[in-house]
Amino acid sequence: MKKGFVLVETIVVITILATSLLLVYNSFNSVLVNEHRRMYYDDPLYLYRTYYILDLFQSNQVVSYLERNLAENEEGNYPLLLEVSCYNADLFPQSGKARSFCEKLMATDYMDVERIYFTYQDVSKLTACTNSSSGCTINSSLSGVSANAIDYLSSLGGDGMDGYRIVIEYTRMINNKKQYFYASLVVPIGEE
Amino acid sequence: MKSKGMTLVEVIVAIALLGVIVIFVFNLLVDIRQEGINSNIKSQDIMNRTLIIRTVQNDFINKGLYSLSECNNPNSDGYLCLNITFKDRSSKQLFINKNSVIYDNEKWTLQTGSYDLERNDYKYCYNYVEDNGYYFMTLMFYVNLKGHILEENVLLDLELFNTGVTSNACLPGSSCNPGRLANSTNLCNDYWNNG
Repeated sequence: MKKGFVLVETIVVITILATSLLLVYNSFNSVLVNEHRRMYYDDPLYLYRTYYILDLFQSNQVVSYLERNLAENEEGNYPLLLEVSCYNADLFPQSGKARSFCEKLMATDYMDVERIYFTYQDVSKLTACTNSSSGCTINSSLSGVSANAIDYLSSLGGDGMDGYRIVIEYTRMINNKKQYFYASLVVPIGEE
Repeated sequence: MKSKGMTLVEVIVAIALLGVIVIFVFNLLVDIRQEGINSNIKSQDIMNRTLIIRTVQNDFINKGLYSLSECNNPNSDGYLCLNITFKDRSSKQLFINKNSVIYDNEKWTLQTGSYDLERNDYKYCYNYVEDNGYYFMTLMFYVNLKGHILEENVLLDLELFNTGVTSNACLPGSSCNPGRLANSTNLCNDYWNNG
């Protein structure tokens, strides 16, 4: 005489329940990820900071610098991403007024700048470097770049677009926890 | 005897299991409903913040900041009034109230939280640094969300930022603008450290 569930029925029910829970978790998780992106990516406060920092770099011929240093060749010896700072002598000659101001600007707590990068507007080749099976040969482009920054770079579009973009990583303490914010702007060409 | 239907124990177990599921689903629906309400408030505040920052900053960029000073006649709410003069010598007033911002006669109301203007007796956080003919200036207005439903995971602080050449401006600290702001160059440090 049959009483209650048999083993097979129990396993089927558990499988159906587990699958349903996984589906629910996945949909909620994607909502949380999108919410995270909305808050930490391209906030207007950080976009305008980025605008002024880009303005400072542009007034020091950053496009010419990028054309010389951020270039591809067949051997893949050149990086697709450049980290720059006020201490870069090609951009800010030592003892120059702009360098002194840039150092002062970055040294303060107010800007919260962690790192400044320049890359191509089209980041598809760069983000392909994160995938080991992509066959990317351009070594060191993403070495030293944090996982958070790579996530942000991966969210940028610009497929097929020419030109460069600035990407800045900012940090800020929120509820005693260090949070990273990102903002990116396209570098206008021909306005130096 | 052949079993017909469910036994009492099976019925009780089934009802108990259904009860657990119903409670779980009910809680989930209540959370989702509350999240929907919060989301509306949050969206409105975030959109307003974006509009304020964009409107003022676009004026800074397009018209060029010449001078910044406190108004002689603060608004009736008793909070902050700033007089912003542009390079074409036109000027606009920025009012920061506890729950709203008015700029150029346009008003944006904060739905949750309040502008934290009086913490540690500082009306706001102002920073001004000059070096070799360049300056940068930050005005920060924090939003206090303590005790509000959006206490976490939302950024509503306002920041107005500008850099430029000192010879083209008459900012606080210059001989042409010796107002109250001239002595406020380190407020941000104190403000943030105490925050």
